[in-house]
Amino acid sequence: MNKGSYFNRGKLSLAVRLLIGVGLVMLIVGSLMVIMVLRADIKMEKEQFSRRASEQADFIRMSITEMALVGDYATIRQMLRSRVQDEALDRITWSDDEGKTIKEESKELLDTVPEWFVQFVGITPIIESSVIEVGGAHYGVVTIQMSPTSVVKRIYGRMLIGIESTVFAMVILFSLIAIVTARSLGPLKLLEAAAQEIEKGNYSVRVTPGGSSEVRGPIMAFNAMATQIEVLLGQMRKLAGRMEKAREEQNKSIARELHDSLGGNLTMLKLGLGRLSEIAGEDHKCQPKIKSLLDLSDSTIHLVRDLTAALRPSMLDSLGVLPTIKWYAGEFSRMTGIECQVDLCKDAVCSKEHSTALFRVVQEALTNVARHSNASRVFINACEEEGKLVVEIVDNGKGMAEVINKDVSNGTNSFGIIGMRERTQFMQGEFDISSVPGRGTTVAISIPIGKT
Amino acid sequence: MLTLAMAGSSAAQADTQDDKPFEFGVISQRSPLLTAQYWNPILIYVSKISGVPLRLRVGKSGVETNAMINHGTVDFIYSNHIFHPENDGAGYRVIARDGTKAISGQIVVPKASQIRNLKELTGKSVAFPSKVAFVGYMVPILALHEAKVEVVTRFAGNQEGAMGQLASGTAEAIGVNSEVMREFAEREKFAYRVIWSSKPYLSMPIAAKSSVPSAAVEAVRNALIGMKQDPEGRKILETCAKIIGDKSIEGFEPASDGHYEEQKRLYRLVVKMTEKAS
Repeated sequence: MNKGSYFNRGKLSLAVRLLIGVGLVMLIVGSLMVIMVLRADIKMEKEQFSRRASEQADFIRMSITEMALVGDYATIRQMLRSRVQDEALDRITWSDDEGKTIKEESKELLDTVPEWFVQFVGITPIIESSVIEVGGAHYGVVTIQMSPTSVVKRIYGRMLIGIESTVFAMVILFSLIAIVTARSLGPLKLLEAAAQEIEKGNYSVRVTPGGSSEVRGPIMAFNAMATQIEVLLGQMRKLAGRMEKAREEQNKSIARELHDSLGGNLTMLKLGLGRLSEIAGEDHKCQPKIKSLLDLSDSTIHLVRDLTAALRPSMLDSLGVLPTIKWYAGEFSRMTGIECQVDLCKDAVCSKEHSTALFRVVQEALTNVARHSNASRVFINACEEEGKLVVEIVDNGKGMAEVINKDVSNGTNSFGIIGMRERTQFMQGEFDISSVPGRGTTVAISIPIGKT
Repeated sequence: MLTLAMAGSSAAQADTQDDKPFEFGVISQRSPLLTAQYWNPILIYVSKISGVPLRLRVGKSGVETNAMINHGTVDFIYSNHIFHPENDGAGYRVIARDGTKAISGQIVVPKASQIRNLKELTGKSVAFPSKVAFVGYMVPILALHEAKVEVVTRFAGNQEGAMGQLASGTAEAIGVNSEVMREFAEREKFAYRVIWSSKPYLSMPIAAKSSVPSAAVEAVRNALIGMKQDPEGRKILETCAKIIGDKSIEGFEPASDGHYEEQKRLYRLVVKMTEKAS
């Protein structure tokens, strides 16, 4: 993975962050709603509870007044027993004016609500008394004790329903938002993948516009940008190809001039010096000078031949690229002392342009081996695979810490590699360079055969 | 229960035992609540003036009031039932009476009823307060008997109970105390028509049990009779009259057993008649 890749930054995606944000907001809003409703409910129940206590006391007082007047204690007891069954009442007492209990009925209430909630609601039991008075005479006091248990239970039940409803609504809403977000932002994933393809050098990738309008815009802009890059790269490659061709032509012209003019002149000079030596005779005092000039002529002729070959090996045109690579490998080994093994297929044929470009790539690769690898051995393998000529240059050198496998230099001075890549792309082929520090470097070129 | 004992005349107070109040029974002509609302202020006043602590006793029905008289469980009683033959041994003597000039027994129907006279009541449902009510049962049932009209009798417990049955249509006619009926109709806005009315009878007596000390009886009697003349007592009477829908302030008048011979005679006549019929 390349260091500093844009696409690996950030731990959470926009969609996840959006959903987390929305979820938190919904949670807060939902909680606030539940609390507000609960508070209103408690306030209302408190008021009702207080009012109900007063009403209950009055109702019971009125109910038993007539029975108290006629002394119907049995009916009073039955009535109190019946009334105390009311969910909110847990004690009814009918006492005389001195506080002596005449009748009392009570019941036990089971508290099924958590204690913390009871504390939170804060409704306390109410004891309400009502004097039975008829025409100025007293017939005792009715005292009721109302427990908030049933009220708290009711509030608790409603709170649970409220929470359940809110959670249900939140889940539904959250799901809807998640679906809409996924549908809207889903194409961004495709955009990201396409951008990664661009990063790898695949400029033909495009993304089908989809999702929300906010996302479709960037996708269309991306596609336009990719198209523009592809066009520019094509133009750049054409330009590079032309430049390469022009340079090769120039090299070829210079080599021919060197060979034909300078080489011819030097040959004539050498022949003239030979004739001059014969005329002067073996014992002539000029013989040592003539011999020295003849040696100089020979070495200059060799130099011209080497220069000519370096500018453009003539065998590229006569024998083809693979024999030229084999020849060059020998020269490379002779000049650098690095053992060079060559294993080439015999019947792979390339066009003239591709031959030159392929030779230049191999030449650059071997130059890099000599300059940077500290290798003792290099292996060149060329074979035909599925209609492609695949050439590998493998050395046993120190390798590279970072491999440039992109079209564009990442701020480094790897112009040699860029050149090799450009030449390969000119041949509509694929270029790859891989290396492990301490375990050498492999340069692989794959070009289609038969395409010219 | 709070007693109605108040500071008052020392003579009467000396006759009471441990401040235990005397039971003052009142016949249930109306509901017990209305009866208590009417009578309690009066008894509080009388207790204060006389120094004799009184406590109201109300029966659920006329029959229960009659039982209180019969068993002598009340010291004072406001009822005609003391003249019923079965209460002859109870030992009550009249000390005063309701200030209303006279009361009549009536048989009434709703104003919209098609029944116009006693004959048309044949086979009809007629409600009465109780079997021991004087103008509410004894007087009208005698009239029906004399008119040879057979009716289906119902008993509602008290006067206003019978009126309630008439208003609801449960009974087609009722036998009532003319004064109680008038007050009920005014209070409840109930329109009725009298198809038969008896001659006037003396208003309801207040009697004291023979075991009650004479000083206490006298103090209570004086307080009752003097109530109308006392501004405080008059005010109470006015307030109480409004409660039952009465506009007149009659108070209480002196009376004795001798004033009620007609009632005693009639009770005996009807009881004999009933015994003969059964």
